[in-house]
Amino acid sequence: MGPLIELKNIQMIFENRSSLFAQKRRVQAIESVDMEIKEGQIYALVGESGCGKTTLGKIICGLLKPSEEGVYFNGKNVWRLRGKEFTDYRRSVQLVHQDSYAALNPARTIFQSLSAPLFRYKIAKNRNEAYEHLEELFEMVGLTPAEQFLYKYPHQLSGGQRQRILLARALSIKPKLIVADEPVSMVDVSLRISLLNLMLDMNEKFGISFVYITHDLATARYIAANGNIAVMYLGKIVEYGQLDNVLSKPRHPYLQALLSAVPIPNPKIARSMKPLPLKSLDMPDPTNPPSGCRFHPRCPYGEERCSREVPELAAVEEDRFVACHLVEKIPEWKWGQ
Amino acid sequence: MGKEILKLKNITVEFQLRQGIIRAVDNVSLDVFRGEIIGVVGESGSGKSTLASTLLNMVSAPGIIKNGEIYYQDKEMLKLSEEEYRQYRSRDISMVFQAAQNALNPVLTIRDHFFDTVKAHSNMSEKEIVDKACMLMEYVRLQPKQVLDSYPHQLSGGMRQRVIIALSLMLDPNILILDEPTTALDVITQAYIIDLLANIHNDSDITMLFLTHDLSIIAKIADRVAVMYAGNIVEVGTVEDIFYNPIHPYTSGLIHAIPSLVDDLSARRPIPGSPPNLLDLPDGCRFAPRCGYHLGGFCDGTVQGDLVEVMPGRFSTCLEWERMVK
Repeated sequence: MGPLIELKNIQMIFENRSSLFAQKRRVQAIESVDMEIKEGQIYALVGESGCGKTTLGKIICGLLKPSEEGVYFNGKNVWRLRGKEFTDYRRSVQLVHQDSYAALNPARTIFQSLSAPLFRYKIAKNRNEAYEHLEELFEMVGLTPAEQFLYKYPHQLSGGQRQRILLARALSIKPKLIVADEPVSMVDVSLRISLLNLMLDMNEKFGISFVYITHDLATARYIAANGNIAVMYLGKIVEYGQLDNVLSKPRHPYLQALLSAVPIPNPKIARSMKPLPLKSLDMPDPTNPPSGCRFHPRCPYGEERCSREVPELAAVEEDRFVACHLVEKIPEWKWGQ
Repeated sequence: MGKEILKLKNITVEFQLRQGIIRAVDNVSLDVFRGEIIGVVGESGSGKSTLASTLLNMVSAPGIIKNGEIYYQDKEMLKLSEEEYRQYRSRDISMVFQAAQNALNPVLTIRDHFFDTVKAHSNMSEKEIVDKACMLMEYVRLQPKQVLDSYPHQLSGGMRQRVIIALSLMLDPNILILDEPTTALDVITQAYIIDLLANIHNDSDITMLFLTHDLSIIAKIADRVAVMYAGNIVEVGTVEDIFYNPIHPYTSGLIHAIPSLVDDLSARRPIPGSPPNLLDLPDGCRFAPRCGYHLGGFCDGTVQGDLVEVMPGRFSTCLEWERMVK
């Protein structure tokens, strides 16, 4: 079976003017990204702020139209789908937002917000059916008794509860893929794991694929332990592969720098970690990205060639892709170094 | 270990709201020793930011410091007049605020920030101020010539945070309070700022009070740790004690709830339930409704324990702490 969603050479360019007569400024948020999303798999999309991970998530959901068309759903270009086929795509791919407060209408009760899609997709015919359906869902996401939550307004609930409601909403119309954009970053530390477990359960029970977008490598490792990880830097995927394999043997210097910088909640290991000596701390201006490899001005291994040629995402071993000219020369990276 | 530089005794901070009274900080006592880095960890709403503003006597309305004493070098601070207290801020106790973006005035250049701060507290000449500012900025790896005449919006988040750190060190304070200093920053910048703070600590005998929700950062930098839950300090110990042998169930739960990049994933367990509403606190132990020891029948959860020194240098409020000792 082919992949559920296929991204082919996605480009996303934003243009704006600071004033009416000013020159247009171009920001290339995504530069030639290829990716396949298969049914029942979990993918982690990791990068720092401004790397384009949220933009890519929105493109997968069909909320942003890429500058070059290239999103395929079951082999068909989604921007050419019409009628029932487009409805089917919209229904199959759902998004869970980072800010659970902003994602729910503050003037509507949870029941009003969550029953709307059920009526829209004719899953429920009347209020009673909708209620029963939601009651079942709420039990699944651990919000019991359901009547305690259904008639409340978003501000009456805690962040963790709202995030569960968003997951229930995404689930309610039986999607095949859920794109979760930083779903736990605004949730208390002690509750994060339970939300991640919930997503893992849904993946196991219903075979729903997840694209988990985050800046936090540790939660990515937790949720996508058996899945894949794509590491992004300034609009490009720089490393891609099976998560365990990628995180235990990072090959791209950017990922190595990132892993050296992640604080580890273990004093002995945390104090033995040494940062990779980057040439510059700050991310370059995305309106004026560096030539060649976008990481070369910061890369400790950069050569003259890196500033001229753009490295392609190429296979270094089976199912493992790295975009670096010097991948064979880069020293092996180990924990605690 | 040095002498106590700062002593908090039974601090209670109340916020009078329409729905009732909230005790954001409830009967908190803590000793801070000269020259150490003490980390204060807690989830949102646990009272750590309120505790930080209490130390500067800057609790924002409607909060009031209801009770308690703060001793700075054996001087009782809360008895001082507003003007006398002002003399201590920045000079003796300095603070780096959360969200540095908002801590700088958008219509002043960085140079003006330095002038304003120093002139309020000392009579250094402008040339002395600029010289010292340049030295501090070079120390935090900023280019003074370029940065001094910039406005805050012209700097990146990491640069602004470094400006704030340089600014907070201008008057050679004895104590630096850092309230979530790296929360809005990227991972690589965060690691750099943490290293920078560790270097500042090594090069001077400054005492640091590091408040954060992120245990991983504490693991990297702190000497001692105080854990806060629902307005109380529930455990105090050295960083090794806290991470390798916690004696409060909340601390242990928190450590097991964080996914990390190196640990066994199957050992991760969420803490059941959610943090209590401060308006409607459970009777007795505040952690009891979520606690494995209480739910396992080891304690009845009806008594809120005081923070007691159960072993030399180790404090816990848990009545069943002995069961947790490995």
